[in-house]
Amino acid sequence: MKKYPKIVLAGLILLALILSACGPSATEAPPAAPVEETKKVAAVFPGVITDQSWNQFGYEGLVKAEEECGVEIAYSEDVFQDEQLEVFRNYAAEGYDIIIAHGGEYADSLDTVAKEYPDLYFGLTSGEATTTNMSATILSYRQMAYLAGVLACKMTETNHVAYVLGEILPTGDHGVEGWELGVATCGKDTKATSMALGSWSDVAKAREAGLTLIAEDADVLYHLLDTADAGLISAAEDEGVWAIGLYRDSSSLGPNAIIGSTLGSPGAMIYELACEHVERGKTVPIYVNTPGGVGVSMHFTDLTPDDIQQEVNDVFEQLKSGELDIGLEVEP
Amino acid sequence: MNERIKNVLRGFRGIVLLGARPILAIILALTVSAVLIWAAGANPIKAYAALLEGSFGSVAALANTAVRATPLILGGLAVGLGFKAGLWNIGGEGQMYLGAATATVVGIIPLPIPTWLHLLLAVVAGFAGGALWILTPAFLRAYRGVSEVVSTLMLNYVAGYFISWLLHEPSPLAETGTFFPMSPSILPGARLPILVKGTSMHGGLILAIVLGVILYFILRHTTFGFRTRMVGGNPETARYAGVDVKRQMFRVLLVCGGIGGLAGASEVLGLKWRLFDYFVSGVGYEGLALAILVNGNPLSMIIGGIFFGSLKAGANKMQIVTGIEASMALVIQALTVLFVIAIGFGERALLDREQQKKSHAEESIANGY
Repeated sequence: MKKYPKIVLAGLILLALILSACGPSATEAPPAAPVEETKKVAAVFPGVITDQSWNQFGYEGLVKAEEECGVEIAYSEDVFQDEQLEVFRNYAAEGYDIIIAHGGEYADSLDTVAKEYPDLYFGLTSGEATTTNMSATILSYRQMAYLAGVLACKMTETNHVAYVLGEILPTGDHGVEGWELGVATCGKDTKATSMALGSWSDVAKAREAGLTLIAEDADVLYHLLDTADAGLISAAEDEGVWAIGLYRDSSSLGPNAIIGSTLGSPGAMIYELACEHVERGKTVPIYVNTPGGVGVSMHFTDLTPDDIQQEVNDVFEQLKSGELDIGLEVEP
Repeated sequence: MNERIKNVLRGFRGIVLLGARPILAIILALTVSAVLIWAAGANPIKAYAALLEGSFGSVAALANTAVRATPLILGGLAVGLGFKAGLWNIGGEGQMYLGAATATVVGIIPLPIPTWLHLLLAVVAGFAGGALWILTPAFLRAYRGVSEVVSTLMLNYVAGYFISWLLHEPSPLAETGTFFPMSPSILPGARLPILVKGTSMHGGLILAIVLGVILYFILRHTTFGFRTRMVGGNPETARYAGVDVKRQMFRVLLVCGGIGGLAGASEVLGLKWRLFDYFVSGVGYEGLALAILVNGNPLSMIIGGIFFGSLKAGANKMQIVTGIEASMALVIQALTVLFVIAIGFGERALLDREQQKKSHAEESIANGY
């Protein structure tokens, strides 16, 4: 008799654990009632849509498309290399009109399935359109890093600013170039460091990197990280130096450190594709001139003096008007 | 005579129980999962119907199941063979990475040889890559007594980072100008053939099944297999019988690693046609779970692998139809393995109790009560 309560308790705990793990998914189930002539859009994510970063912002773009462009949405998360083809083909067979893959790692698989289903439309973020029934969008890290660089060199007192990236990918190369060009605009010989962390999500590692950079006198930190940004910004917060956020206003991560954030969401790439704003067969950038409030822009906090805000905004306007050309990932 | 029949019957019961254990575990796991699906707000019957349709309902579904089963079977064999010698190869992931890398190297170099030979070379390279990766842990286990569990497990991380390094410029294995780290494409001649047009079903499944059958016969009918089972059964007895236990352990681990390498090679040569950064996503560990489920039996591994593969293939369909996360497949897998272990413990406890009763009774008789 004595044994049973223990077993029941253990069972209940196990059940509760598993339930809590799969609970939320059900509430987010795709709407079941198909409406005539509503386009069905499916998006495929490499990670979970609650990662506070690449996938979550991407998903938010998909939801925005649902709200504003009246499409019906569905998604799959954590879709890895071995199941890419299968998931794309499943959506195609289920009659989805637009299938969007969130990330350059899907390029090969999407190309294969796009050729198998010439009547459907495919979208790729951070990659290139390779068929006529596919479009691709690329978020301009080059322009974002440029704007961050301009702000950083105006705010630095030690003449050393640093850019921390998850890994050096081609997108990252553009970021580094933009960063260096931006920092050089002040003309006061500011040192622009860039370093690769080797991880997009390792918060502790990012904090260590931040502390090391600060010890080397860097006093403005910018990044191209996913969830690891919290670590980097906390290092700036604790050591009393500045930091610049990415994708969204990051001041909640470091209210006394964040002087501004470069806006431009991974979701904008999905939004533009889901709403069919991109010409078929083309690869376009998401940049300062992308309409609809989803392009690249700057957000400042009160920690940035008004005159500096104005100066950076001037640069932003010059980029927009085309007066200033720092290059782009792809031609618009 | 009577005693003999009893023995035969007892042996028969053992075989039935052995087969029944995984099946009972699967039924229990599906039942518990049904409760979970119901609790998550979906109809379990509808969900399982979608699961079944997504795994066996059409040619495309069957192909998906086959694609998912292939690395699981190979990964499972890489672990299961070790079981027979009492060894735990937890390094499936690492061996997959290395096997995939060596197969890729051979697969992207244009060679003036017939295509079948090129493919064969790439597959052999995959085996060699996996075996190479387990060389150190195998040596340490066999000749220095270092636990292979820790060393093979740790090398998984090393392998992941090593492949990552291989795929980033300026490495010669990195494709230039891509948006994600990957190798150049495997040459058409070195790819495993697609078995059903319009799907991804590739020759890897045949490789896995043939290997499973071969391993079964090796374990049953060769001296290598007999030695392996002796070492697994009782190393001391094996040594007393003249088996070089250390050498046997070393050899078995090398073959385990090689099969792990094949699992990676078949993914690259059959499914992806490129080596991608972080392309192994836990399949190595699922192979371990599978091997536990079927207790390392190579023939059961094929069936078990197809079952696990069907869960994974069907789960995506289930997600599209009912909105239940595809990760439910992993929950079912994990529950299956847990139930197998639990049933195993239960059986042993029962046996122990029976034996205790028996010895009690004998004691009583001996004491003259």
